[in-house]
Amino acid sequence: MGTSSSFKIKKMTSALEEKLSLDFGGKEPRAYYYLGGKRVLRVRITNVHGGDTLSPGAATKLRNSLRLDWEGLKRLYNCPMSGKEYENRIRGILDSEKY
Amino acid sequence: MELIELGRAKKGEEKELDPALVKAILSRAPRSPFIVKRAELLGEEVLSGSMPRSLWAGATVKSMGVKGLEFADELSEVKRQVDDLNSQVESVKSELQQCKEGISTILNELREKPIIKQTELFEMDETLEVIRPIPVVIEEYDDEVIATFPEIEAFGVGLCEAEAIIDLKSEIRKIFFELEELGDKELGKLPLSWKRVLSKVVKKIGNVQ
Repeated sequence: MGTSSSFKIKKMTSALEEKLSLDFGGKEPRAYYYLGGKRVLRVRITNVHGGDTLSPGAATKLRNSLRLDWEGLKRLYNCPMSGKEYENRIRGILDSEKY
Repeated sequence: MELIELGRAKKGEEKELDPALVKAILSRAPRSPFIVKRAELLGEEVLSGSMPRSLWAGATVKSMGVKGLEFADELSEVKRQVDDLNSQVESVKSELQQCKEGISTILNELREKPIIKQTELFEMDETLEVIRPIPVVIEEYDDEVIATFPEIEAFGVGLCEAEAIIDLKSEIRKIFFELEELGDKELGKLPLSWKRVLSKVVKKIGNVQ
């Protein structure tokens, strides 16, 4: 897998829904990630072509919005990263930075 | 060529063997000093006339034998050089393959690197009025364009810049009303900062449908 290509939209959506408890809805999924009962991140999965694979730009935006590097996004997508692991990672980022 | 000359000498033509021919034979091709010396000694004996004519053919054959050995050495050297060249060619081919793979990787990465421009939004829609121009970053990928309002992490996508900007406006509007309906206590620091930023660049002039 390259840096941003080959992410299937359906699989990515399922992974984020299951692991991060994101509530996607509608034609173009958008959802907030909650931490401590508050909205902390906004996630949007989109694709200009209407294909089943995330385009490089859309994948980059998704990765940025989740505050992950490519390796982290791949781990989230391919299952090694659990929702709890992601939560701990985000907590670390939010606590140490300005969010 | 030399074998033909030798063949002629062996066919009983010793009497006709020309000293110039022997000299010509001896003068061909580079030789090792030892072999040259032996060949020259034989040749000189023929040329000087100190060797009986009846022995010329034999001397020539010996001289040619020495030259044959010399030729075998040269062949061996040429073979070694060819082997070296083959080894070098293999090495160059391997390096070329690595270069090819490297270029392919770079091309793939370049395809994912957008051309970046900046612009501003001056108008939204019937629900929001722009108070201050909204800074927008345009990223042009191979076959998609993304327009981003970085301060609130809103982005729009499209096949062209105009489509991406229209989509971005829609996103800004969605985020504005998503955040507006919630109290500040329900928002983390980041969405709260988005809300503040939005309140400084747009104001509500209508309700979302």
